[in-house]
Amino acid sequence: MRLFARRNFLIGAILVGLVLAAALLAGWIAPFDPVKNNFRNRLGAPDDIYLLGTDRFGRDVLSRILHGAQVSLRIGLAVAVLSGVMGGIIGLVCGWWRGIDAWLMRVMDGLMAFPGLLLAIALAATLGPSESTVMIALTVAYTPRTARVMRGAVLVARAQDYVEAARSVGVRTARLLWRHVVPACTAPLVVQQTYVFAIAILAEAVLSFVGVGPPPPQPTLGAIIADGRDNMVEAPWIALSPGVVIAMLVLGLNLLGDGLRDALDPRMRRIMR
Amino acid sequence: MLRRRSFTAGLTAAASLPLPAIAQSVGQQGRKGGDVIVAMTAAPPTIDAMATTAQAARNISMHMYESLYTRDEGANPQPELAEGVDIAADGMTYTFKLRGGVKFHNGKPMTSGDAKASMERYAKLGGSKDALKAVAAFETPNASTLVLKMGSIFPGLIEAISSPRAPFVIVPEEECGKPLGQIGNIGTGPFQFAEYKPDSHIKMTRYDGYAANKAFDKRDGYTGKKTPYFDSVTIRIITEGGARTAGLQTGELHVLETLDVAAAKRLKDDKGIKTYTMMPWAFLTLMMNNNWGLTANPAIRKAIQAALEVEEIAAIASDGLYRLDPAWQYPGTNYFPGDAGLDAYVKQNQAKAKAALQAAGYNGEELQVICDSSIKWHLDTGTVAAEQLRAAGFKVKLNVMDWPTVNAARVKPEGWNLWPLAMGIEPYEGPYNVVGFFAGSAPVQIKPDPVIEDSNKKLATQLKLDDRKAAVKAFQDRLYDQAIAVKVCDIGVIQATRANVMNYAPYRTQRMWDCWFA
Repeated sequence: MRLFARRNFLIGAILVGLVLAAALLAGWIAPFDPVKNNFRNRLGAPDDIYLLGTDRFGRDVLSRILHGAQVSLRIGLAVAVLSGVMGGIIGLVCGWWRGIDAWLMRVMDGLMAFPGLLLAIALAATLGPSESTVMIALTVAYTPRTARVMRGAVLVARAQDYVEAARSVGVRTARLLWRHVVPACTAPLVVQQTYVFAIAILAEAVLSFVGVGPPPPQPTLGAIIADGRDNMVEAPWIALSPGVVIAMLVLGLNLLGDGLRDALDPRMRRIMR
Repeated sequence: MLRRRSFTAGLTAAASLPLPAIAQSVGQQGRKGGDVIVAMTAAPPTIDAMATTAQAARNISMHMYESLYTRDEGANPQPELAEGVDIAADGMTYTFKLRGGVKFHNGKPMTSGDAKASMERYAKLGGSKDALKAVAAFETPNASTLVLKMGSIFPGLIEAISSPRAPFVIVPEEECGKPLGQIGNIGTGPFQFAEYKPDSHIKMTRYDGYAANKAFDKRDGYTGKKTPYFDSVTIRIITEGGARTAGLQTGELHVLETLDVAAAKRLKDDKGIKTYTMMPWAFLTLMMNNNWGLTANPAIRKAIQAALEVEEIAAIASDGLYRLDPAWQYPGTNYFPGDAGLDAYVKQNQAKAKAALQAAGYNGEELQVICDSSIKWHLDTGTVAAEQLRAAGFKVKLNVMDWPTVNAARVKPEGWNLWPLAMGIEPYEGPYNVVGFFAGSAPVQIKPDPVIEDSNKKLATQLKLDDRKAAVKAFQDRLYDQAIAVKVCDIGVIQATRANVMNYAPYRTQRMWDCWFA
């Protein structure tokens, strides 16, 4: 695998792989029920039973992180896929049909004028806190960026000789787009969506931290940090542990994205040679 | 001839609420000077004392204004600007004799004309104006006497007008025609208004013309003999708990409205800081909608009661600052109905809960818990209770919203089953607003209950204290018997000062009189 020969991709894959594996296996490897309270064991320091200590509800922090990572990854993946599909379609339409481009991209510009996170907070607060709300809010917030990237890629692709040649011999538009334009735009789209994946995980943590994420007692990484905020001095393990996981995950996804970009961009390939 | 009785005399004999002890350092000599900086947690919607029930406004107004009656250390009504009150035996006339020598901050002597105009303004726009609904007329036979002629009996009048919720303050007559929020900030209190910067701070300076109440020998709750020592009091609005704690540690703040329990534990060995526990501060409760869905069924409500382990909720929600107390009035107060026989209700019994659920034919309908994320007590209570109910076999949906949304949702007759609420000022005020919360046109449990309505009516009409106490007992018995709501515990708060603030004593709001810098 040439991809794994790239150091940043390899490090990214290891980091993401670790978190992914832990999250996927949470149901089996989490030592305790992540929502089970035990007020007699509140704010317990890490020990051989509670490896990452307990929070102020007496819940096992490790179990909550494992299950919380699952939620964060699920939201990140959903946002990456949904905004990839929606942004991809909008970008494709705008890049190909120039008449639609003018007004549709103005709508996207309008959405981009709002800071993405602020828009997501407003939407999540309006729709009410739930996992699906967070997914919708973040998808709306990040779709315009994906659309802009996709539109740029389509504009480049449509000017390519092979696309012109296909059009001149009468290939139907749908086939032309599907067989010749979309494949040429896939690489930048995939790279972009790995960043969206990482940003969405961070954004979900922020939404949960400010109280508009999935409702308690569902563990999410941001909510665990928020829970630990008031006890930073006497129980720092509550907020620090999920913070480390978020850092690992976001760093890993960014390195993966960098590695993918290096591998998929022909110009970078030349430079690397 | 009407038989008269003194309201004051009856109350001074009453047992007092076990609030923190009155400042012990009676022998200490106060020292004038300094600007004491107090941090409070929220901004007041207005500083028009009559108009708002906000705690933030009370923090300010109790320094600048005084009322005919207010509350003592044990939360019992005591005279402040009045020397006392004579209540006609038929309960239809209240005659207040005003204290002499009291001057407003503008130098004008206070008279019964000011008291009458203030009460009339309150009756129009006051935050608790319903308390004056039974008053037919205010009369001023002379400059030092105010007479309230009642249109109907209301034995709770003195309790009502002595409440600091939206205090019944006396202001100059000429100010009383001014609309809401535009009144001059002129009172008779130990500190006078100097400056207000919304969302930042309010500054008050010592009123050297203050006429202390010589009927007392020391401060007592909001009344007593008050002596202002600080040159000025600056109350800063600092919403972030961490910033307040840091300000206290660095000495930039001298007094905190509240200190997080965790921070208090951390700072207990800090020689520069003194902490004070204020217990009780509030009831922690779980209100139930008796009108809609699962909780319309008393058997389900009883199952909920049995499923809850109140000590776990109390310990988590209060960070350990709680006391288990099933009564719906504080022990030691005039209307305490006792707590004998309540253990059976408050003891968790999951088996009983499951059996009750089965007997009620529960088939997995969702229990809707609404709670806000703004107040930690509420969110934690909702979170822990939801988990305990799930463990007992309920299907529970926890709907976390902001406070205004929850407040709007909980008055709707449908759509919610459980609502966690910390009742702060109501139990402090006594039984009227506790029982009244469950009665009248908008009872908290939505569906009016005939026994509670009867208790509320008796409270409002029975002239004998024993009869009113019996009404409170009947109210409490009914709450448990029908599982109308769940009382979790009493919760406390921690107030804090720098170590050089002498003679401070905690109370519902910070009192900056009778304390000074070392």
